[in-house]
Amino acid sequence: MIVEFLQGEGEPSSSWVMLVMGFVSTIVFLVLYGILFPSSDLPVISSVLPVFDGVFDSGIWFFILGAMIGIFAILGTMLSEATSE
Amino acid sequence: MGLITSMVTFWLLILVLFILVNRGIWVFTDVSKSMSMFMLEKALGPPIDFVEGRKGAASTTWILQGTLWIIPASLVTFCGLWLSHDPQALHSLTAWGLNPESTSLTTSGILIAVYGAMGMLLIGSSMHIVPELGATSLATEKNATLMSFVWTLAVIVMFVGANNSEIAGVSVMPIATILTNLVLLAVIVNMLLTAASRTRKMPLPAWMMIIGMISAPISILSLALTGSLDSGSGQWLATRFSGTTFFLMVSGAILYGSSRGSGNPLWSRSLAAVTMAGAIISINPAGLIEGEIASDFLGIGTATFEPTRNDIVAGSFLLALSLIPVLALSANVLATMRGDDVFMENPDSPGMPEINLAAFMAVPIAIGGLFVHTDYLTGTNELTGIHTSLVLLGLWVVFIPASLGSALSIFPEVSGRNMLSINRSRWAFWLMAGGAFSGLVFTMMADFSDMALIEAAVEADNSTANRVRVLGSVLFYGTVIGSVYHSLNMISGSFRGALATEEQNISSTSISSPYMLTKETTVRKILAQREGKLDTVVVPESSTESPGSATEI
Repeated sequence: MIVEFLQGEGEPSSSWVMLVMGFVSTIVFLVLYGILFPSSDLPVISSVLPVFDGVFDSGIWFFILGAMIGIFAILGTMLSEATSE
Repeated sequence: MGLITSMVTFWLLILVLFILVNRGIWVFTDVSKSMSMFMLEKALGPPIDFVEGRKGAASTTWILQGTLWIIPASLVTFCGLWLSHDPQALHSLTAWGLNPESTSLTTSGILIAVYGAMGMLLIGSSMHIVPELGATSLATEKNATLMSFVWTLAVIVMFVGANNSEIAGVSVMPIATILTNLVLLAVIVNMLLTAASRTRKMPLPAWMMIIGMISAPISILSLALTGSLDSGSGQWLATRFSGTTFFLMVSGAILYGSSRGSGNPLWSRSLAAVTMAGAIISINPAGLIEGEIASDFLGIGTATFEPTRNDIVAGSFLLALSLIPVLALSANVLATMRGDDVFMENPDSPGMPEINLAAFMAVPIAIGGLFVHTDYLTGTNELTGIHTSLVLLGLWVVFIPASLGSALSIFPEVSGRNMLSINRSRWAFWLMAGGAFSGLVFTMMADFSDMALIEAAVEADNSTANRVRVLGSVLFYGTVIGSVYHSLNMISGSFRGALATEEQNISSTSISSPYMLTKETTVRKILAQREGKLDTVVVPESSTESPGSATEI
């Protein structure tokens, strides 16, 4: 049986709860980090992956990588839409 | 020559051109028509066969590319904002020979947004609006489609030129100018041929778009004729004229889009006429304050801005006049979208929230621009510290939403399919609008803080302003995500979206099931029965006071 992917137009009201929870937990994380490590900046990619030391050593790279994912998603969408039967 | 002489020359040239476009060029009309068609198609040789000539193909191609350009425009602007508080953030790119700086990235972000995103969206919209309002078809779809790729190439060159002005001893910006003007010439000829084949009187939005396009070369011509191009005032005026060009095009697009999307007729023809005439007569406050960008584009030396007393008086007066067309446009668009009550009609129609935002924000941003430009023109220079943020704000909450909204409202008709998801479209709007507004307002707050410290002659680093800039740049990232959402929605929609012919256009005047009111009741009771929404029409059942009688058989 081929199962199709379905996506509705309506938005369940409970999905907003998840979004608010996500937002609140992000703020809580940032506040906690500031309390636990008051003199440290937020970690960047190179502090998690030392192989990128000296390259991705600013928080801006998180955002640039996010945008690159978006751009690749567009390219992927164009390819898959153009080739789908 | 003075500022007022250049303006008078510009008005005269526009007037002559408007008459010529309407009346034709005497016996040369037919010759020029066939010659122009030949130059647009056959003369280009094999490349013209690479593109599609289907109805709506040109508009679709321009709009799609314009939407895609919003992503790099917002990303580069985001990087520019980030580097203003962390200048070394992208130092690793020096390994590739790149040395990005906040100012160059912000300027190139503005250029990509103006010419790549806004320019392409507006030209794409005009390729639908002008033929539609003239009840005809675009003179050549093939040439228009082909030119979109040359324009994209010009924007890439522009981006390179804004970050690296000279490569191998050659100035880059003039190359971009040549490419954009080449395309613009082809598009203008295409539009004029389309207008010449109109079968009915064309409403003002179409003329606004045509005159807007033509005003770009005409403004430079008027400055060249009066010999003002190498003066500071002339270069400042050249930058202002680019604001006029885009304002006229945006006005035409949103006036059409607001009526098309809401299903309401245009509220006022007089206000549309005031918008068009006012935009031409006044000096537009949109855009960068310095004339340096104009000199870069034209490949001439930058002159010092030293306006005479007459220039200051005339310039300030004409700048102040620009508020009239802005108010007229904003009122006309908002009233058209709302119809006969206070609520926006068909708010789920594609592009409607964007147009609403642009019309709403146009007035405060124009007033802000007016203050900053008058401050610069009079040499006071107390507000120049916020001008970049204000330009970005105007761009991302007025011009980009207006051009994107208009393009979205006509996209189903030109591509034949609707956006993939209204829900995603709504998310994209909130991300873009919220990100741009909040991010740039925070950045402007930091600008004000810096200005206050400079005035107080404090030399220490302003850490508070830097922290606010962090917040501003992070919030602006919402615009990047929103633009990705919009692009995905549009691309998927053009393949799998509901067919435009299948979906009925909901109009404010046609409610399929009105609520039949048989006796006195309250709004709360109607809503409680889940029978109605805010825009449900309540129709009283007809009744009579005369007593009943037996039915005659």
